[in-house]
Amino acid sequence: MKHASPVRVVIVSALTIGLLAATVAAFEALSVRSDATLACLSHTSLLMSEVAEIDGFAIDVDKDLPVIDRGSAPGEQPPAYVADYQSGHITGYLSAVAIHGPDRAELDAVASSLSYPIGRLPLVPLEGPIVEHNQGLLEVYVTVRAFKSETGVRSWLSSKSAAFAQSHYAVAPSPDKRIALAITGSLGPDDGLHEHILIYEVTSASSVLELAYQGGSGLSETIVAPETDTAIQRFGQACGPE
Amino acid sequence: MRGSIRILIAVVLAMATSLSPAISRGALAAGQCFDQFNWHAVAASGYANNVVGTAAWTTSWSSWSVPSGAFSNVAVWIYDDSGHYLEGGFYSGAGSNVPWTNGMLPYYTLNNGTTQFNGAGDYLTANASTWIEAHDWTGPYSTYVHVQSFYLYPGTYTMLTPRHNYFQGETSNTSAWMGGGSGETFSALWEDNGSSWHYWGFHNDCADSPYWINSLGSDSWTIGGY
Repeated sequence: MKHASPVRVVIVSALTIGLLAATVAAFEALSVRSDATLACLSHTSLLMSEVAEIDGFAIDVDKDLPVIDRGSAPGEQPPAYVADYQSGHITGYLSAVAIHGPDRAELDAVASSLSYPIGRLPLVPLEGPIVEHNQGLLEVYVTVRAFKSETGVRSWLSSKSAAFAQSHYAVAPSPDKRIALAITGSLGPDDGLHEHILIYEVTSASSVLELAYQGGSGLSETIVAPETDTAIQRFGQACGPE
Repeated sequence: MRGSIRILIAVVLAMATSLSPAISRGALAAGQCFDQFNWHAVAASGYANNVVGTAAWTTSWSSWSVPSGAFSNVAVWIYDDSGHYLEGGFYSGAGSNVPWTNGMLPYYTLNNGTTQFNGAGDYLTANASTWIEAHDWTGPYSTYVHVQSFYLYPGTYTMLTPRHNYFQGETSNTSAWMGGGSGETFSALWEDNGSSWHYWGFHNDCADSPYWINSLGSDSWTIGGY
């Protein structure tokens, strides 16, 4: 049986203590990042509370996003934004007129014709007479995605831009310098019965705020400007500067 | 001294273990059948130079739920060995150009799943016999995804040979149902470049708990779980 020499014991002890110290440091660093991320996500989940309170919107989605979209395929490494993703949250707001208004019956009739169960909320994205009769804002989705680094942010924006360009949506830098990417399109045929959509991607050092506005043919940047200003301001306060 | 070292090591390991949930989903890599980022049920078959399409017959969900997860989907794939992938199927929950749906919509992805398009307005009929197909060959409109009566066209997408046949059910969170929860059966085929269809000859399966996949034969299986 071999005995450990005093020198070896000292070396092993030093290495172990070093490892312990490094682990504690990593733990503290992760705790700080985790706390900051949590604060960012929880604060921004309330970004659009004024919309709900003032304009008669109701929350239809309020969910954590533990993973990021589909983004992996057999035999391939996922893109940087998948590997770099930390956590996220989506909050969705649906216009009360879609829930309780005169076109709700038509929405439920469509759902029934598809053999869908009828629940408290109508089928979304909205389509049909509800879109035709309400040309302004009908749905809002606020998503915050937190990444471990700026690499994830850049990868996300690049992927998002390519995906929408492929999908024949209009992708362009916004005149508003706070917005990294502005995307416009139609959720189905542009026939007045399917919602228009306006998506903004706003970045901080390691987070991305996505504002998705859906509504009738009158949906415009001007209409949603107050909500956009509020959201970007609060995102900046909670999640850091660009 | 050895006892002290063991205690120190135990403390380090305990701290590392306690860190896992806070770090990322990467901590869940062990035991995942596909990757550490989402939950899957997978059936992988063979490959050949003359594969132009992969498809499956199934039944769309009669009930579905993504109560605290981001999405649930089922899809067939064809892909080559050079990084080209075409995925086609249907989903509910979070999407790309459709931020959120509580219905079932067809979708496709290209490029390792990163270029995603959701078929807004193309609500699938529930509890209905459903064909899902990913097709890629030369010529205009020959790259498409076909789900129930809906076709999605990504544009020309050059995929090399050989091409693999592959199926995947996927969720973002174990609170989301897969395959309608109680189970969804698939019967898979592949198409050759002479437009003839063939049933898969075999498939290798795996699933991440709590989801499951049960083989029913060389070309068929059932997935489910929540």
